[in-house]
Amino acid sequence: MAISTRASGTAEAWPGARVRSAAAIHGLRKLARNPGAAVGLALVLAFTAMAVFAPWIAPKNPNLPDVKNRVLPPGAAGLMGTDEFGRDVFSRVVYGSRISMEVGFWVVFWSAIPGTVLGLVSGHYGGRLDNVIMRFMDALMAFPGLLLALAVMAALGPSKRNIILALAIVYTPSFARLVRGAALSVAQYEFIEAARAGGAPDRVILFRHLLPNTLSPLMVNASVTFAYAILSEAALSFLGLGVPQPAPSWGNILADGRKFIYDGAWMSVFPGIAIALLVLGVNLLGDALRDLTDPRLRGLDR
Amino acid sequence: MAVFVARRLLMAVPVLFLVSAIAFSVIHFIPGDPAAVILGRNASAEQLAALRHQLGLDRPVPVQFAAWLGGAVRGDLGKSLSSRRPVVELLAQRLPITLSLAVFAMLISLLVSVPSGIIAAGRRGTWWDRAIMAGALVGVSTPSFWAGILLIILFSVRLGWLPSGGFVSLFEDFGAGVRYLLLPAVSLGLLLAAVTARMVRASLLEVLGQDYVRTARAKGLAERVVVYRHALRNALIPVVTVAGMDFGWLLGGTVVVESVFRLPGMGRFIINAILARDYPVVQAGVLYLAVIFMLVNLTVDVLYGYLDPRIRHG
Repeated sequence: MAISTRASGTAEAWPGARVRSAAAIHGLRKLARNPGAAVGLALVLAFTAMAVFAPWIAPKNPNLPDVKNRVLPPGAAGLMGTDEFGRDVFSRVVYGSRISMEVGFWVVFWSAIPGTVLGLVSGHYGGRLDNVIMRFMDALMAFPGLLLALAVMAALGPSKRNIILALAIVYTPSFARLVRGAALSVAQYEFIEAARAGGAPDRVILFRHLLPNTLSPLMVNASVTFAYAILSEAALSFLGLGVPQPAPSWGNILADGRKFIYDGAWMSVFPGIAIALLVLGVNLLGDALRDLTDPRLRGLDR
Repeated sequence: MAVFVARRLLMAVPVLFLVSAIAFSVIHFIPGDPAAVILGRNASAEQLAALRHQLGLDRPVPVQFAAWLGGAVRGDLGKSLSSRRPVVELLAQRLPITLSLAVFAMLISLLVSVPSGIIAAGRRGTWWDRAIMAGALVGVSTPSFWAGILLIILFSVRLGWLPSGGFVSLFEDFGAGVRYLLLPAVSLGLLLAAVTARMVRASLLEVLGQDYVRTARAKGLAERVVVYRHALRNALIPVVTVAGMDFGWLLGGTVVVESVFRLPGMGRFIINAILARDYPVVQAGVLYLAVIFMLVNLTVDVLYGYLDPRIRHG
């Protein structure tokens, strides 16, 4: 919420800023009282810590083979057993959090920024430009998301950077549509008319007046996108078109585990739990944000 | 109504064109020369050039696109580079498998999600509601392919009740076909049910708060009549739209789930084609799935106009 005050300028430039930060503090208090949000925040922070401190948490080198200790169950070797090369599954899951968090963060970043700019431009200028941009977005959205990511990965080749690029292409249209819609509804308010009459350049109207008013749906969409990005990366890596081996990504570890489903089920169970817990945390936070920012839902549940 | 349908169809044309342009162009960025892949490492420069000419790869990209699009309109999407058979024929063998998986999953999803959404909304705030919504949240957060792996571990490896992979056509042996499709369809359908149940609940709660529902209650109608006859119909309208969009998610999901269960459908076919750089197959497969998704959404739009007259006349 602090972002919205900063983006709308200092208190002198726009008197509404002070009111906004008060609302933000009220919102944060409400967020803290929501048990779901607290669990979500705890999960996301825990995985962030896991990613940052991976070298200290992981007991072993995640890529170090150990032929004498292949396919050992949890307990016999390490917390989560070992894989087909004798690598420690727990260490691989810990390091895997780095790839998931990184991909989630950068996909949100690289889809939110172009999506927001396209949406603002489309909503503000309208006409033919709007038509061209939105038809192109429609075409991208006409593909099942994972299929489009797959096609782009096929073209670019498997690597972490390419996953981020592919998923950013997939999720940009949702931001563009959302921001365009919000910009269109805000544009009808009188303060935009006033700013234009006062001779404010388009740049100021777009980024100082329209953008701050689209921030709450944007943040909700960002949390949803973060969750989808993590799930999609896991799926792509599982298919062998994501992060290349031997880097430990949760999807990769699951792909390795699929081969040992009869006598090494632990290889398939633990990375999946990690994915589900992180995504659950992000979803809980996203739900709380939505309840907070969507006034229609306020008071409906409690 | 006819005007509404016609307008929707017309709007779909430019999007369809762009979709085919994207499906065509993405594959042209693939590193590596398809001719070199087909002929192997020992091919001479002349052989490569001859094959490129034969495949039309030496022509400008817009010309190639026009030729491809022209063929696509006539139902000719070229030949597979690896098997040399018409792509349309190859896809026709795999499409029914993917579609039966998607439809089966959709049925499971609706059978689970609509009743549980109604129960959760009708008993809002009770333990029923909390349990269903907690289950839905876990479902939304679980990757479908991992759910599939867990189902295999439980029902195939441990209990030995169902096959862990493979496929039998529903049209040859219906009973066996269902046994092979059950686990993949459940792993996709349950996660979709989680999304839809949340939607049904939210939508029904919103409708139950409206004035006409209060009037119905004030008239002394039984709660059952209020919910099922008055509220549910309106509450399900947005659910229909979401079900249409979910079909796209399902088609994407089948790609991964087919790999988990080794089902010989479109998804696995496309992935193998990507790995083999069989680009006519990839182009056509991506185009097929995108067009199916578009048609489903078009149908949903039309259905929506039928269910809700406000849209049609808006």
